Amino acid sequence: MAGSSSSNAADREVELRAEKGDRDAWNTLIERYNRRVIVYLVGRGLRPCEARELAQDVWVRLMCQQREQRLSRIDLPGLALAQARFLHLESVRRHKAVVPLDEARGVHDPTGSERALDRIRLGRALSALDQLGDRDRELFEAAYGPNAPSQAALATTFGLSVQRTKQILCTVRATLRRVLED
Amino acid sequence: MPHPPLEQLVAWTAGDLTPTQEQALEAHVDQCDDCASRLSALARQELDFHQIADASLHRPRANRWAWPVAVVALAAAAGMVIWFMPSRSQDLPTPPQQTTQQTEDLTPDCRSHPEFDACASEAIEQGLWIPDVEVPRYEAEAACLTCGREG
Repeated sequence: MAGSSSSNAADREVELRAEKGDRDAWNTLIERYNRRVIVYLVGRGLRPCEARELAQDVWVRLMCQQREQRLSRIDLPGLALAQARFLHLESVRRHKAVVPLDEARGVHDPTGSERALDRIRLGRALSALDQLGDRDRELFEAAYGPNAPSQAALATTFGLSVQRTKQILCTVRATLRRVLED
Repeated sequence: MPHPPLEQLVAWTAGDLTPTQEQALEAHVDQCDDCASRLSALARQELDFHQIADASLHRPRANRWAWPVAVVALAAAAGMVIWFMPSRSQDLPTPPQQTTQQTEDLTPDCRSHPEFDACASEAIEQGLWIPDVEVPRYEAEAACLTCGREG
């Protein structure tokens, strides 16, 4: 996609400003990635209200770490997801005496993706993606890839209406869901 | 509030609900174990989608023009090899000189001979003559230029 490299550069520029403590840059990043952190925490079994609270803690922690110059690089959403995972495990530890070993091992997972798709399901999903049209596949990759823009920005990039963009993504998700559940 | 339909839970994970719808759904899910568990499963799928998109972006892209381009490239390479390969005729003994003149010289005598058909069959069998192509030259001038028989 033609616009992806320039949007990546713009995203990196915002991250660089946040690394220097720019509050507006932090607000932009929070606005962009907060939902992803919440969904991640709900996926880990938290209720939406708990996930929202913990997500807030994630951003506060990250901003404190940046102020104390303990962050060499802000790379989102991976950093926020790793922090979310850590805080979630901390809260589990506080309530439970023993943390499952697998959970404890994954604490420092930098990507925060502890639930890796197995290769077979991933292969099936990728071939299902190939059977879609190029535009639908590229739209999905842009929407779910790193530095995903807003749906409005996506719609502009692909020359579609926001409504149509949502419809296409909905169809692609439904297709992938069927494949993953088989 | 009744259990929200699956579509609404999916829309929540995708961030497609309005703030009011989102608030109402979350208020229900915070109280309902079944819906919380369904929403959690959908949220995990949402994370799978990110993984799929990432894997899709990082795999070698299959090019629909790859095959035609490969075929053309292969044909071009074969053409180059044939073009630059030393001619095999240089390595082989020089074949007998064959000219259409010989055919013309031969034809009036040979084709009018009463045994021409038998002679031609024999020549074809021996591989000495390929009809309508070329007629070999023979050392013995007296020999039949078609089957090579003397006299």
